[in-house]
Amino acid sequence: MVSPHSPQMKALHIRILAIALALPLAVVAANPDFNGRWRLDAAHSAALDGWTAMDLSIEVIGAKVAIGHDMRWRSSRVTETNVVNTNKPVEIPNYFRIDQRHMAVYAPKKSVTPVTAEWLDEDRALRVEAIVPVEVSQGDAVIRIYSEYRLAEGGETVTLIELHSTRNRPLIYVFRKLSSDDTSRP
Amino acid sequence: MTRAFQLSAIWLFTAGALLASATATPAKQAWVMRFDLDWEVASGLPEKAMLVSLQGLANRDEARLYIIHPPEFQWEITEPLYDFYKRKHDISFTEIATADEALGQFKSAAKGYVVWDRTIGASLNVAFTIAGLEDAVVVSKDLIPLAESHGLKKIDDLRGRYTGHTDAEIYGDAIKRYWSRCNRDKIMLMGGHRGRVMMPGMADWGVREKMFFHDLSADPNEADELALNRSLLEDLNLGSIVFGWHPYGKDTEEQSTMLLSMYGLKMEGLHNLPNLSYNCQFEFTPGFKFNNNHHVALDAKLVAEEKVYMTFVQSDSIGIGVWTKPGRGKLPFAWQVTMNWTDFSPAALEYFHESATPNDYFIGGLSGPGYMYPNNIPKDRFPVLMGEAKGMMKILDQHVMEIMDNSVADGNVGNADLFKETVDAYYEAFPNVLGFINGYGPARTRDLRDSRPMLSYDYYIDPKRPRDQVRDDLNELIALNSKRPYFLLVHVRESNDVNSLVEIVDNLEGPIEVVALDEFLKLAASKKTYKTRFRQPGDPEHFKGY
Repeated sequence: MVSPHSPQMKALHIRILAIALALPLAVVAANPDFNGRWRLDAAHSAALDGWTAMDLSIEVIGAKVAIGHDMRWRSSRVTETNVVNTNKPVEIPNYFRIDQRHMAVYAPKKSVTPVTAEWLDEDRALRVEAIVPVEVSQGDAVIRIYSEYRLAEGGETVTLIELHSTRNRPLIYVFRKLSSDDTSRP
Repeated sequence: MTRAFQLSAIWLFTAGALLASATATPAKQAWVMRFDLDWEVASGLPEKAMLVSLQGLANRDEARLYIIHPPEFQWEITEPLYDFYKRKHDISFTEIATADEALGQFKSAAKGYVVWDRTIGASLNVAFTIAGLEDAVVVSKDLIPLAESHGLKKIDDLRGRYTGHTDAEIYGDAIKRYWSRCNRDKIMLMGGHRGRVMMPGMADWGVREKMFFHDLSADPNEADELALNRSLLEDLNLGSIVFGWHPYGKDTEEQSTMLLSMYGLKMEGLHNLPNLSYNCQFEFTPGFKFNNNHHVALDAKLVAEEKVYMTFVQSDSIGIGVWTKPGRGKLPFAWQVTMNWTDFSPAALEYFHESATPNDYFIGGLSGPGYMYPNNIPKDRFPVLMGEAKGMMKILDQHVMEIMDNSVADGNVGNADLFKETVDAYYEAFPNVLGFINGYGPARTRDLRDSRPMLSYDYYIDPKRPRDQVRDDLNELIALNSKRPYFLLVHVRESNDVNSLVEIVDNLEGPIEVVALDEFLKLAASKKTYKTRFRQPGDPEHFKGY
């Protein structure tokens, strides 16, 4: 039996205290420069497929980060938001992934995607990892998608690095920040 | 003397024979013009519009005028086909350099001219309709002196008639004036490019056949135009053909094709498909018979191994794709043939056939005896239309039918799937095919009945997509479809080049084999690792229909 005053318990208490202190820090530590709307710089990004333009919107609310996607294909628009949590794993219904639409890889009609997220590199990067169910011609499959949103110095550029468990090279998308009074859509 | 006479006689006879051979009257005399790529309303279009209307009239009774377009023109094979006519039909062409020369040569085919208004695009279509009915050439204001210099008189003048009118009003008026005299088996949807550039390269055919020309919208948001469009389609004879193409910017290909399919009509595009008035007058050369490059017999039984089988198909109709580009023949390729060219352009089909490599395999389509969306074909018309298609496939020695229904898709993305009832109808209508393929962009209609698979495209190669991304996309599909065998059906959009595909294939991961489409379908029949699926309620629908 371990004594409540033993060195092991002391160490445990210290760790719990550290975590307790760190939690609110994590909440407030999110870099405010992430907040706002970001437009895809197509010339410096991986080619979209079946989309012609894309905006991201990022909103940090405590531990939650809402990552919005405003996608355009010709005259069609799709707007979808994934809300991740940097404090705990979440399950997101109908998780939106930036899909290559000329591949027969479909979102199931109803799905739940386990997602984890955390701030990295002194809050200059947000890591999101999702296990995304998909439908392919042989039936059901999953893609583990590791996404890192990196804020560049100056806060005007976000680079999204997306790695798939089923793809050996990452997809890299570069976004430029839109001014707060810019109401244009992609 | 006797010997000298004999030698002289032999020499004279030989020389005479050679001379006779060199000046032998060709089987047919024809004329040819070369067009450039300037179709701007403000510059190149008016003269071209006049010439194609003249071509339609000149070619009414016999094939006399052929037009060659630059290789960059969307329909790429006018020059190779011109060579084919010379070589296989012994046509002797005389080149015509100018519009003035063309009018001088063919003015007797025209009774006069009709003037269109360059500021009103629809007036050109009305002028083409009048041209067919009244044997007129269409001219803009600037070309009137040229037409009159050849003795042509004014038959009609549309300048001012339609100023300030909507397209619906213009075509409403044209219907009242001309529709009753127009062809009811064929109609010309002269859409495509609009505004600054117009490209009515198919007008010769419409003029020759006295068709009604229009570019009415099929978009429900253009209610007035849609109502007129529907009234025309309803008034056509059963089984008619809509030639041309939908008007860019007014509606979508999906709306236009869905609408005519609802009437059981067949589409034959493009708006700039040239020379049909010439091509239609030729038969296949004597003794010619289609022998497709089959890789497996209809009753063959193959067994798939534990690997990835991949095959490439190009639809979009051969002739606007990569046929003339380097690299063809390096990979097995299936080519969707517009089957009703057996009626309208046999020489083009024969040209493709004779220039095919062993890796080029022809398949039927698109969906039937023309471009149609089968989910929308009236049930009572389906067997009749597919009966026509079967007849053409027999002539063309084809064993595979390609299907496409984009009525609820959004261009080359979205839902391109078939209802189960549609799939049932195809299986019933085509008991002797080797199989079916479906889609344009990717789709997920799949089935296997007896030995006939129906597979959809798992990938569509956008010609603009970087090749390293295409390679990664294909590798990702191979990773996601992890059961072996995996059957990877790839649609190659027009203007992709085959050489780049060879490099992609070389860089795919896993045990891959690229096979011809017929072999692919036979292998897919042997081990069903794909999931049966049809269009389902709740699948995305971009266009809600009529």
